[in-house]
Amino acid sequence: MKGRTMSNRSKHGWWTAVALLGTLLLTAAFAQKPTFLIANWQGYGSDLPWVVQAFEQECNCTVKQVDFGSEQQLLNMLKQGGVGKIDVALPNSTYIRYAIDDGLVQPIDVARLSNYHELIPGLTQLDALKKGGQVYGVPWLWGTVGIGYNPDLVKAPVQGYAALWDKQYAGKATFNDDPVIAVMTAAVYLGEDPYHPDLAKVKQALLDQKRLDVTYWATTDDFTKLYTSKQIDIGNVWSGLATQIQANGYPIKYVTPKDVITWVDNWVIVKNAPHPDLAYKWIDFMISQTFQDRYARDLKQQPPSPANQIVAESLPADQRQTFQTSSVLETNIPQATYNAWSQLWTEVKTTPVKPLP
Amino acid sequence: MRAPRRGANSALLLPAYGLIVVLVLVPLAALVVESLTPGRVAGVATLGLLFENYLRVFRDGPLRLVLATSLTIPAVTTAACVALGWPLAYALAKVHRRRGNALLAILMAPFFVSYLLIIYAFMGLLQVGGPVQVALHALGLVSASTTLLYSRAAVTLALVYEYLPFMVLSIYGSLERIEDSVLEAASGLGANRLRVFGEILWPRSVPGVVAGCALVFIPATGSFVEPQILGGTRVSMLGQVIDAQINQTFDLPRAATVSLVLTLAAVAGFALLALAALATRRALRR
Repeated sequence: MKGRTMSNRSKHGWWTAVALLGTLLLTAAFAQKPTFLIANWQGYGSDLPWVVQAFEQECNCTVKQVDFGSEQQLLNMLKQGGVGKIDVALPNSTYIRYAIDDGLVQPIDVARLSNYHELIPGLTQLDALKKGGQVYGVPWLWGTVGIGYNPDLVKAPVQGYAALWDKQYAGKATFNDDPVIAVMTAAVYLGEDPYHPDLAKVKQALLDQKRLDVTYWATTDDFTKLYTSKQIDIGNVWSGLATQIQANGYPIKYVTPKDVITWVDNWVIVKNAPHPDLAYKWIDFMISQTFQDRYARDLKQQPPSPANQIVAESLPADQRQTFQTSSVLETNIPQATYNAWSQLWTEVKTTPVKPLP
Repeated sequence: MRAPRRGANSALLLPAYGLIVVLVLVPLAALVVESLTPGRVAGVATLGLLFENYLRVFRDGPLRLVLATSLTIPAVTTAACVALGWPLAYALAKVHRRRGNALLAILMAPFFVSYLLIIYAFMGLLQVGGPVQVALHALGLVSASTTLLYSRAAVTLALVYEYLPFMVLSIYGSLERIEDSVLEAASGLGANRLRVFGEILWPRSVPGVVAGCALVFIPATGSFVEPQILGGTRVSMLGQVIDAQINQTFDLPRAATVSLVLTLAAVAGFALLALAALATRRALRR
């Protein structure tokens, strides 16, 4: 008897499953809305409710986002099944080169983007976005990695990256956990060519710098916690993050050194994107004044600088940054160089040093 | 009824053997193979000797320091867990026996909290302006801006908190098995408390202590989040090196090599701890 009850029950479960599956299939068949798939960092503009709503209305589609936590993860995601499923993605000015070289993205016909001409020319002219005379990336937002410090506690004038090596901040400093930023910052500090520095000197400089730090910071949250709890007085920091901290009521001074390290995030259309037309619409929306203005003025969103020149010039003075083609751009770093820098940074991070008193 | 045949029994055990092969032996073999493949330097595979990765690890001076830290922090953690856990286990097994289960449940509470949450809680406790730092400052022990955070002590504290339940549970298991009649007989025959501890309680709890050491020391050697968040730039453990090799430099052969070196060192470290625990038993019995 017992066995029979069991089998009835399992049969019942089976039919439920069939019914559910059927309902799902029917829903899918009747709801013909395409699903537009974006790959981006979590909480970085494209997943804001108002943005998703606005685009879903315009495109009559469902917008979905897959998050990545590092640029390398984005590349892996594209290589391991993302191509053919993801429509658009957002690599930075270093990684876009690897995506183009590996054939993960497709050329963009910029004539189809009605807002393209409003972009800052210095950004659209970047070599990294092009290959063989074709454009592969559309600049969206950019920012600098300068120095943030607590004006109540740091009284000496802070100008260049040398402040990160100033022994008076021992035990009160932090440094960004990123191989490219680390090597380039040390190179600028040493007066070396930031793209071809003497790696032995860079490594020693980074080990010396480490003696001043209490910890490295990797995420927005890391830096914000360290700064607002007054564990640190000074550190290198993204421009947008400094703006956000200030907007949340914690005074912070942001200094842009002369040879400031600068990054640019760019939209790409993934190779074999299922919805290329929507991809063009999306990118056009992302670089439009509508998006760029509202996003740039929402200071709590940690907005970097807008690539739309009209929006950039309309911002209040304390938020406005001018893109300098002469700055140290995080771009044109060959994959082998990147690997060597990455190895160096790992060594620095895991080498024990004696903290400065 | 006939006794079941031996063959049938073995057949029933096949799935279990299969699991061990698939989930333990195969991955371990893969790790060994990976560690023997040529490493990458700047993205280019180097054609080197079979054991090149191992030579690189042993010649790496800083890495040896990191290995030392990866063993000493867990060793201190394990010792602290024994020192704190033994009395606790005794209290649960022999003193509060009737409420033992309820107390055990309370003790298990940290198990139900994500370890990441525990780590961040320690960060909040120890940071400047946190309760621990404020209290230490009020007592005049530290200056207003000095904190335990970003030190070996902070990492050890969090590890002790995370692993203490493992130690208590395994010591509890062996203490619970000591019959009360034995303890009564000992004191009835005139043994004082110290002698009861030295000749009955401790020796018979050593198996539990050794098992606890395995459960605390070995996993603690692989910690990487604790030193990262609570140790800052001041503490480096091999777990972080492995994490960086996998997630940042993508040098899997090197990550495999460091993992195997860490595993062997952890087992050796555990063997030393176990021998030490067994030695105390012999010493006390004399």
